[in-house]
Amino acid sequence: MTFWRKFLNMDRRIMWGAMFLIVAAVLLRPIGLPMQIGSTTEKFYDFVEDIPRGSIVWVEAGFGAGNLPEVGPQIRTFLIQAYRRDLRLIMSSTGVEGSQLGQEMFEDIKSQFFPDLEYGVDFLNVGYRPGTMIYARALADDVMSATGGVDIFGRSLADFPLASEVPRLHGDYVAVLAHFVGHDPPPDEWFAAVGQPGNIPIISGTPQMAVPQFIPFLEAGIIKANIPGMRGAAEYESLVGVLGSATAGQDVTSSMVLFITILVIMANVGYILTRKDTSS
Amino acid sequence: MRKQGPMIICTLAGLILIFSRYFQVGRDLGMLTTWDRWFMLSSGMAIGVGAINLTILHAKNVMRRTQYWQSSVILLVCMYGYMALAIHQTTGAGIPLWIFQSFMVTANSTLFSMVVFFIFSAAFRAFRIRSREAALLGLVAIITMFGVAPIGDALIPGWSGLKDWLLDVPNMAGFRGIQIGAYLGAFATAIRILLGLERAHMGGGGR
Repeated sequence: MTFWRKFLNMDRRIMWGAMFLIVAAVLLRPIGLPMQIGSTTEKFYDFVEDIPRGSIVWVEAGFGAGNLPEVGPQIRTFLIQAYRRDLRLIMSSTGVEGSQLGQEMFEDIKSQFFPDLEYGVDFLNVGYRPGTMIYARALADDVMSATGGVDIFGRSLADFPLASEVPRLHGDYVAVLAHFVGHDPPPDEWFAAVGQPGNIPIISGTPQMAVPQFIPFLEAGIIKANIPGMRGAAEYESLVGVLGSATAGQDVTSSMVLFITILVIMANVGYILTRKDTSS
Repeated sequence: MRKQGPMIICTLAGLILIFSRYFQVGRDLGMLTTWDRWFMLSSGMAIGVGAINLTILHAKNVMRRTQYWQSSVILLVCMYGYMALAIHQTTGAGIPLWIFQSFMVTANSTLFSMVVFFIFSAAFRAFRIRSREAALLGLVAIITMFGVAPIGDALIPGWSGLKDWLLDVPNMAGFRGIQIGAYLGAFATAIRILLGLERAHMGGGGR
């Protein structure tokens, strides 16, 4: 029984070391397991495909650097799909880091895939503003006043043609609200402030941790489609045909799930055996 | 009056908001928009108040040479240094952008990633079948984990369907219950604050 006792009291640094080695090994030599496309991700893809060409989509980038591995590939792939369909995007953020990270993603896909995109014509970033629901409601009233009339760089919105096409966040001007968040807020605030009164359908992308919180809204039709976590991002990359970091992360997720399951099963075997030993 | 004053302001603000939102006269006057702007302005000012508070606290630490006063110096230099740079160059370009990408994004991602290691070792110790509930928790966790990773479907085709059912049915039922309960609780608390029965938010705790 000494083995099991030692195993159960294993120093956690040994586990962490093993984790690190497995992640490194799988990243260096990917397994390439096949992946089924989930229905919600497919719905998201189809929803974007059905948006009329040339429409304006409002993107809420309310995530932070901590969610970048999961939500980052979702937004990046969304931008690629949107620009393939000639959509035009306005980005806002109720998270401090989201607006800057979203701006970098736009610059990145512009240089890689769409060099002709023009800031202010195809993309506009109104930056970070506090207040979430209050801010969303202010946007529904008057975009200029809610944003203070300036973009993320402090330049006047009046100088950009895209801004003049959306005087307020309403279904008359905006086709869809794409809501990418780290964890909070859930989409009910945007739905109550903008989605329902302005008749704007909402689609979302979330980290895996936030998925259970979003499902009731998805099932109720408040959100039309959702990309769930890194798995969803990988499915979305596969649908759009641009394989990126989420796809690369799938083998790591699989190997980690297998590793922890083996450890949990072994820990339970050890627990049962040592318990019997102790009681006898 | 130190207690009554904030209570009166709080009740008045609540009543005005109710009037602005739920009465046609209030809506016609566009009062909600005005209040929303006040809120956004207050939120911005709250950041300023926070910065002043932080400065006073850490300046005291430095002057009194309390334990870890060096960290206070780093905080003040970072805060005011970044603020000065950002005002000079805007946050979206130049050195402020470089600082954001090199420090903020990297540090935040690293901290978030490190949580995985702790979750891993916690799961190793927590998923012990000590009771029926613990067994159920462990089983659901394993089904969900395998459903999220491609390995689940690779080992047993259709595995992710089981995960989807768990999320769509039992999880949704539970979450809806929690959310409805939370909103009802928030509603009840709002009424108590409005009536002056709840005073914990003014400090001192309790009624």
